[in-house]
Amino acid sequence: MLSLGRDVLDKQLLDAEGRPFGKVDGVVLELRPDAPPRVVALEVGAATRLARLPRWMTRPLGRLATRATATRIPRSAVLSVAREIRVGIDATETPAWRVEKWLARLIARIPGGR
Amino acid sequence: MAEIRLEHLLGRRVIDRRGRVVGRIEEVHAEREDGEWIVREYVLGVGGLVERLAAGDLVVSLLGGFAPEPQRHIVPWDALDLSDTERPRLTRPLAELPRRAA
Amino acid sequence: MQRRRGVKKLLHVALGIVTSFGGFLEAGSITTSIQAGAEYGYSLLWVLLVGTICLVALIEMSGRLAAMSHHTIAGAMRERFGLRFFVLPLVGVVAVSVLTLAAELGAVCMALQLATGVSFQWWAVPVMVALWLLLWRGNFGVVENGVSLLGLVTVVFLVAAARLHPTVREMAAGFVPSGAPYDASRYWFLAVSILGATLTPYLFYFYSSGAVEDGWEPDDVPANRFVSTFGMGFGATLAAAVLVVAALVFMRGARLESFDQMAPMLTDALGPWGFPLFVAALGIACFGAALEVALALAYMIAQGFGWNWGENVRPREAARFSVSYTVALVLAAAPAAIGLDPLRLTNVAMALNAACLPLAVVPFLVLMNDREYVGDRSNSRLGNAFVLGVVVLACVLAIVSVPLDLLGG
Repeated sequence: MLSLGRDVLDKQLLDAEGRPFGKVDGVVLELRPDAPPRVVALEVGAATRLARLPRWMTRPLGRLATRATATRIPRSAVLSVAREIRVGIDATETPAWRVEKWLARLIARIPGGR
Repeated sequence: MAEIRLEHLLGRRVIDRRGRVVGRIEEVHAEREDGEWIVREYVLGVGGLVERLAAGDLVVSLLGGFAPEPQRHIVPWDALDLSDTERPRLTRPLAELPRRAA
Repeated sequence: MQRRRGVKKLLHVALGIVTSFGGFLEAGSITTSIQAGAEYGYSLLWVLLVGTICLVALIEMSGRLAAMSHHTIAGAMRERFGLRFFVLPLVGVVAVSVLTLAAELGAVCMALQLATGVSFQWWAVPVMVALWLLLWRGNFGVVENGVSLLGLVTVVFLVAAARLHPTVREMAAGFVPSGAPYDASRYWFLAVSILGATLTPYLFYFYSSGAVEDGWEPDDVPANRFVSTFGMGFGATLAAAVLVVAALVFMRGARLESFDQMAPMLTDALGPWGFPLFVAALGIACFGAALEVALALAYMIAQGFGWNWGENVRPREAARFSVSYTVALVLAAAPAAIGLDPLRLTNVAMALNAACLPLAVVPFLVLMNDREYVGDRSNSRLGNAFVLGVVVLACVLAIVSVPLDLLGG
């Protein structure tokens, strides 16, 4: 039996290359009539995180919060659930990597960043 | 497709058929079946914030035998009505639901 | 093969102890020890002892958590408590650590002012850039160890203390807990500052990061106990030495208001070398501490959000991590750059460290009792009770005595 809160939510995510790309910020369940709910996707991203925080904490961020992304990882992409959760996608292709990519471009301009 | 988020479900107050608050959802157990992760049951924690904190490992270590026993119930998936995701509702009386050993 | 592994481990332990020793003193411990010694003689030594025992316990716990769970404190806290709860200790520890970083940076600038006569304000940006460059381009392990080894210069305080021939019986009396001989609110304010300086959260959060990176396993736990006890224990004797020298050199009750007044303290024992040695010790110790706080901050944030982090990652590979310490350094340079008194800033930072301790330590203690993280090596009841007691005491004292001192001073 998988304890979704303990074993999945907030666990470290590793992509197909073993790259750390965040923690599981959300788990999406599908509600079905006359059938038990099932997990359809994991979610990682600032938008998902902000949705979990109380309003008084996130309101000061204002418009910055609207630019936050959320990346959905279909459950079918999950390879293993252990100390980390390994998923079979390339993190650099996801919106979650957008900030990292943008910063990396900035850093490349600074000597020694490479 | 009706969706619900685990992170909003955890910690949410559960009401019984009469509308009284009976506890909070502490955990969701799922089973791997044919490549799917199917939710089988919910763990309902009865008691307020103090009880929940007091049952923690640290407090048990400090208080030893005086630490309070946590009360938890197992709610099978079909005993929880999630049509109103903000107000999960038990479809069976609490007394019928099995108690869970700590 | 076995013997080579044994020797390697021994060297590792020895390095751990020596770098903990050389890296122990920083702005907070130096200033609070000097002030405590000058104003109350030996009577605050017991606070240093209590704080050190608590620190040894916390450092040992960080190592044990890493060895048993392969998680850092911050990483484990996010996973165990969830995002919503984790945000509270994260913000608290990060805020207090940025303030501590500012205090370290300010002290380095003061050391440079003492050495060159150029005002500390002008040094803020150069020092910030120097720190940043070392992190940006250097291998953290090499940089850290290198600066900690240079930090062995702080041994001059021990030498000076020995040369001043303190009365052992009088010193021993200082280790027995006692009340304030006079001006109770000031006494307890200094007591809480010593606790805050000894128990800065960045220390054990940083230690757990190193332990995870080095891939500690359960059978590293005994060696970890050794390193934490002796490394921190020896380090604390340096802080005690600073206090003793201050007690013997300054007039009892003297309120030192600036680093300039503190700087000549080694000349009685060491002659004309005393002044440059003080400046070197202050500058190097605080520079090393600044590097560590900056890294600890960035590690905490990266580990909490699951980003890439580590000793040898190139900035481009861990962009958010690198940006975190960059932003922290820029924020930390601001107070010194605008001319805020570094001594005052250090006092405030240490008191706030103490106030924030329960937030930083209690979730950590919960983890140390959770079998899913530490297996069968969970905390003893005594360990829990002692650490909890010290941390709560420090917080209560901070809340009570800081406003009193601000009103009185």
